[in-house]
Amino acid sequence: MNGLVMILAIAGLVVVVPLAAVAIATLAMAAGRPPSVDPSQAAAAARRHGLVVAWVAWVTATAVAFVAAAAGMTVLRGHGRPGGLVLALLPMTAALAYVAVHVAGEHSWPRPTGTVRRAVLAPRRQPVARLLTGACMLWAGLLAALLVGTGLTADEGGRAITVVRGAASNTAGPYPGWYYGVPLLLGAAALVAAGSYALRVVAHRPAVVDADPAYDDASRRLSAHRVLRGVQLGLGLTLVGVQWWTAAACINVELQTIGPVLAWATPVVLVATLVACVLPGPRLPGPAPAPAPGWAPPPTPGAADPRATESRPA
Amino acid sequence: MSVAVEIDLSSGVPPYEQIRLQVLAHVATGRLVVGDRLPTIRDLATDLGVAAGTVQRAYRELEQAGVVATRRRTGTVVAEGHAPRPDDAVRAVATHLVATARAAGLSDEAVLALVRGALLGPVAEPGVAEPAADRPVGSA
Repeated sequence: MNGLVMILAIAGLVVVVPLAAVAIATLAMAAGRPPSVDPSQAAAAARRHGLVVAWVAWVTATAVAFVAAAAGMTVLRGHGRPGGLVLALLPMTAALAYVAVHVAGEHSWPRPTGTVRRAVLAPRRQPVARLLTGACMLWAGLLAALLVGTGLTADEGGRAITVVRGAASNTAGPYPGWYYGVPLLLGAAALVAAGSYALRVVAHRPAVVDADPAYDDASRRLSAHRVLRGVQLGLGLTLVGVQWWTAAACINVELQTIGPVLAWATPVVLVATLVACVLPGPRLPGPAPAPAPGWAPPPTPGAADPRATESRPA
Repeated sequence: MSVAVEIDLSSGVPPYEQIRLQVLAHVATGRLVVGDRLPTIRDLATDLGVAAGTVQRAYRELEQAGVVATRRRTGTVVAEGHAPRPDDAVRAVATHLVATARAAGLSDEAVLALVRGALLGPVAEPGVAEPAADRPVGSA
């Protein structure tokens, strides 16, 4: 029992506290800006829905991370090796849970109500969050390269690196290798695929009625920002862990170049990941000025008029 | 400039017909020009909260009339169509009519009724004013 309590305490300290701090910092940065006035009731409902989904996603990710950390440490204590794998997959598991909540939230986006409905006659564009998209691609690329590199250079056991110098050899571990590399590559692929799917759902969800197209566009970009924030956090933190353990093993076997480079790069990636995570998303615009005559849709035909059908082209 | 459609589900006119007529009107007034892409059937149906089949029927009838064309890669785009486009002078008169009528406090339905009445009446020469209403019964 004491062991379990200690595991839970460590999991809480190592995982829940930092994640909760990141979540609070992220939401505080957004709340610190003066609130914009919602242009309509539908816009207010959509904004509230988005905020609730964001909060639930953070809470879910933190809870999943806590459970995964506790489970990983328990297995590590009892059975060794698989526990390390559970812990290595922890950031991506939490990120997948985060994205899953956002997908559910997008599928439950408020639908048009009322008898009068309006829609813009323009094709949808995929919402863009350039900085976060770039971060995701960078972390995913570096992670894949590092995992493949460690897989190719690990020894036969797949969890250590051995350097032979003359008659002597030097072995150090833990080392990512294929034992960790394959599950982590699959996890990264799953996270990227989940994030891409979430962005598709954001692009095709119902438009915010009674708000001009600029508001709806900004709302979608904000949702995309929130989704990508979690994806890059999962990829970035995984990369930090892989870099750290690879650097430690390389330094122990006296690989004088790559070890220190990776060691110095680790805090850089960590800081960049956390900064990208807490950056506030796009601001929702306030009420638009009265639409120009060109924007207003043509009047809806009222009662059925027999002559109206005769105006139809043959 | 954004172009939109607005449907009234309580209207007696079916939603697909409202969509069809409004897209036609936008094309006729030049707000939608040849090559402009329309949203996908699914996206427009999602935004309006109607079944995809409703939008599909509107698009199909517009395509049969030659107003739009659907291609696999580009989706649905405004096509050349075979109905002659009103020239700028006619469009200017229509815009002026709407502005004048609205300034006079007429509803959009009243404006449409005026236009329908003019379409039902005898063909007048351009620039010739219609005689006063109290003409003898039976005159042309």
